[in-house]
Amino acid sequence: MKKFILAIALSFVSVFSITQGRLLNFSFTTYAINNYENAWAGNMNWSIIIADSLRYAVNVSVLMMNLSHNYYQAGATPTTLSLNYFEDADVTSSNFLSQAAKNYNFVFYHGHGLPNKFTLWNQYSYMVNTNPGIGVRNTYWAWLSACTVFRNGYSDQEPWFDGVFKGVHSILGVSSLTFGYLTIAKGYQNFAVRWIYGNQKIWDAYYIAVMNIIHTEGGFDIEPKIVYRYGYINGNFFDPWEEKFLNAYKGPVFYNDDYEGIGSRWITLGDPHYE
Amino acid sequence: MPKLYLVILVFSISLIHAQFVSKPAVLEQINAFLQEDVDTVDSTYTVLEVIGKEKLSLNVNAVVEEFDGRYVVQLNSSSRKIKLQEESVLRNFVADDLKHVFGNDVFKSCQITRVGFEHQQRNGHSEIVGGVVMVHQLVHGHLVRGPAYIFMFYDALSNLKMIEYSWIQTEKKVVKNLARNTDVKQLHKSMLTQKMSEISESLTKENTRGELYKAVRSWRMMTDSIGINVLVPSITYLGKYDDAGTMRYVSFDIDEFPAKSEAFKPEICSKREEKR
Repeated sequence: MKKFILAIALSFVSVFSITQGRLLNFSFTTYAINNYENAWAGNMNWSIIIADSLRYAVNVSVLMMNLSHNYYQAGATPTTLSLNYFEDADVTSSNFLSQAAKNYNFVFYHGHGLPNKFTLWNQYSYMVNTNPGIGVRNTYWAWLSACTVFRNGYSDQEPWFDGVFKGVHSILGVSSLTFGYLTIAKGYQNFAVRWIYGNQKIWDAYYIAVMNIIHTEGGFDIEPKIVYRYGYINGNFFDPWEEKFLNAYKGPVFYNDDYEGIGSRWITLGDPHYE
Repeated sequence: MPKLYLVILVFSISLIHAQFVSKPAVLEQINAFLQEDVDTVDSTYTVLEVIGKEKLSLNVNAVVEEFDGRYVVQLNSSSRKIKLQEESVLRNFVADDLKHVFGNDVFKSCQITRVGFEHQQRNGHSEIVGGVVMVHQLVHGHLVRGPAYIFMFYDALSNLKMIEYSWIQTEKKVVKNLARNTDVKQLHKSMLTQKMSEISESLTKENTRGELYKAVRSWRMMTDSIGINVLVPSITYLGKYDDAGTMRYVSFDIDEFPAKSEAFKPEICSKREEKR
């Protein structure tokens, strides 16, 4: 009888536990706006180039990761990659929250931002942190490359996890202004190489890529930030800033009241000492 | 006459770039840099060919991994117990650690350019959980803009935990200058005006302002037409601007002997609220 109960219990654990490891099917999409409806938010020139560059780097990084681990050899299963993009007039609320976006593991956005919200193509249209969203999503990671979206002291990160990004592991963004130009595109590519191929922690890959931009390319200071909920999964403490591509949780997390708290990390840099 | 020219230049740049102005001292620095070669119109200058990356020898036991052309050094020191708080304290630790890990020769070829902190907030409580440091490689006394760096990462108790570096080796070359020196200096200044104008435009959109406050000699890494990496003499400009009460920085480089104008055109990704 005891064995029977144990077998039943174990079968429930296997149903409700989230497995960890490399995603065998990794889906990645970008949202980028160069031209807004009636130029309502100020048109940009670099958004689509930045998104294109990042998708390219993700593609190359997945290939390099598969090769470096010999996943193409007989018997091994390489990670397959699905890429998609939404540009200009397709960057709408419905497209962002639609089934397509809902099913992408990683969502990248580049456009204008404000604390707690970022702009969409339609005139005066925003995606706001308090938007109720459409239920639990399969987006594990989001990256909002938009000014001040996580401005320290002015932004409230908690609502993002209850609506728009319900189930997301972590969201990358900035607490400062950010900019669009060629070196930003190169720096963002550096993130993909570090996180996917280099298997660095997602936060380390992100902020060291930003350090690379500032140091190696110059340009404007950016204050990178990651926001997340943390807690226990399968009895183990999970701090999402540490999540690695090769050991990721395969499923949405912390979308009920099953988390310990909300956290964030960011980097501040002192005065430059160039002599 | 040169002083009059300087005053006119300062005045005109200030008028054109109301949101991003230059301190007069910077313009004096630029003139001094560009002036040095003024009468030596022998039409040559020095560039440095990058002949390879160097794996630095370490004075400590550590695990070193190569990744995408960089070296990552994992360290396990835990002797310090000083809570990270002040930039100046961390800066002193960085100097000590550079000497300790890499030795004096490498330390003398370094410039500790940025020291910062990693912050964590959990349920409203914030604390410093680490330190981050950027170090530029110096070649012939001037910093290199390019993949020639040491990044250092500290824990909250000031212990060095990780280093990532990319260190280049160079070889001196002499290059023929195809343009007249006077034209080159004029082009450099017009490129500076253009970049300041572009930055000013970005800052105007955000209704903020800044200033160019420093210029230093540097080397900029570029890839020539046949794929060889070279360091060309450049001037690195430093500016600062106000981001809602926080002072932030911008830097850019202009070749001392520029061949052509390059687009920079930063775009600010901020949307100010509409008044409707």
